[in-house]
Amino acid sequence: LTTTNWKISASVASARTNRSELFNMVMALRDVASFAGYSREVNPAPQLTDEDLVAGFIDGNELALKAFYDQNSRLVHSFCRRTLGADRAADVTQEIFLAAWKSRTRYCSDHGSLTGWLMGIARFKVVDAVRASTRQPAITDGEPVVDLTDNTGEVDDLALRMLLAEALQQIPERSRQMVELAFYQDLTHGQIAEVTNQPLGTVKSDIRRGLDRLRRHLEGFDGAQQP
Amino acid sequence: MVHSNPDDERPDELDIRLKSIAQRITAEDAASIDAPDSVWSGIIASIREEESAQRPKLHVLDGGATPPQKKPWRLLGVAAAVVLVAAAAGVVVGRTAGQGRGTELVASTRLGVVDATGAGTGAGTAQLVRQADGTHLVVKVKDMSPAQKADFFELWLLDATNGNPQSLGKMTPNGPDTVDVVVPASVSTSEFPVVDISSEIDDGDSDHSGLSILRGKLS
Repeated sequence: LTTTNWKISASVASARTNRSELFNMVMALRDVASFAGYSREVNPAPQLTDEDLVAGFIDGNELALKAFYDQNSRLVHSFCRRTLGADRAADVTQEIFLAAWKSRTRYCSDHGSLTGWLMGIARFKVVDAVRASTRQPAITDGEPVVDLTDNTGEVDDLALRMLLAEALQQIPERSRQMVELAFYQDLTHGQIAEVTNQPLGTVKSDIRRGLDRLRRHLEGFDGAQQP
Repeated sequence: MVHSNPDDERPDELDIRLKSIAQRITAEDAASIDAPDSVWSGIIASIREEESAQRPKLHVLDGGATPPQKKPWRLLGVAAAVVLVAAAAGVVVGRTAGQGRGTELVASTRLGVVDATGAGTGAGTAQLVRQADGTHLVVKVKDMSPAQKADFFELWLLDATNGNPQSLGKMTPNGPDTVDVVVPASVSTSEFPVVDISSEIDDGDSDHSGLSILRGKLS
């Protein structure tokens, strides 16, 4: 136990912000064991919040990078696969995370979500890769690849669709249902209240919360700059 | 629309855009395939390579020393930048033990086994010596042995209050018993008076392992 505590102390000490210190403590308790090759058993620890992860990431904490990668690599890789094909998807996914890591201090949480920002970077990288491939045609494994020749609008649209599809899954169930009723059924708040048998105030606040989360992804995406 | 009822809030441009995107989502958009493991290992390898190119070198000039391994270690924050500058100027050099003329002993300590960690055994001394080219930490160890597998040892200065570690570099197992390093000017030995030697494995984590073998407070 003493050793574990010392590990936490060392991690905390290397942090530069309170939030990042918290991140380190949580990570040390959570799964530093598996990541750092630590064999010591640790007890379940408090939940890591998005804010903790973002602070750790910006601070250059590699455990935060790993957590961020675990959260988002599936989305980024799938996007690359759809746009570039399976052969090149892995390499470009790697480039995207490295580009995000190197430019992490340019990310500002006031301007959207980190995942949205990452997908914004992914969009730039994929466009670059598509342009490169038009100069030198790549051989794919025969899987369908979106025809994006000189059409960055298509890349943007696909990135946003995949980003929001993923984000919708992260919204709490009740809020997601209401947002989907508004999006896909075109129902008003009043109608959603009737359909779901919830008070109008609840419907409004649930939808607002859900939309706010989606908006942050969109804002993050829009805020990304060419890496 | 998202809010078409007059009683509802008016949708703004972003909400309209969200709705438009959401309505075009297909089943295929939601499907996703995990990235292969090689992606993460490639990311870490690339970060390590970059760190390795940037980090200052700690030379242990002793005939018996084996070349430093490629495990990265880093100094933190401002210290790193200062040391990089110092390294570029050729200030950070190691040298054999034994001080010549013009040296002044500033502080010293015995290094004892850290029982709490059970990380190893051994003994040693550390001397803080002021010389013309800066303040040196001269560490001599005897019979230092890790309790479990160690790829190398790492020398640290710790803050006395909470153990905040500043890496001074690594030591090679079976290497020389004496290490002489210049303490970066950015690291105050009054703020970081505790000399610590840890047992480290080459796992890609440059933080202190928590496995301190020897420790002593300079005074």
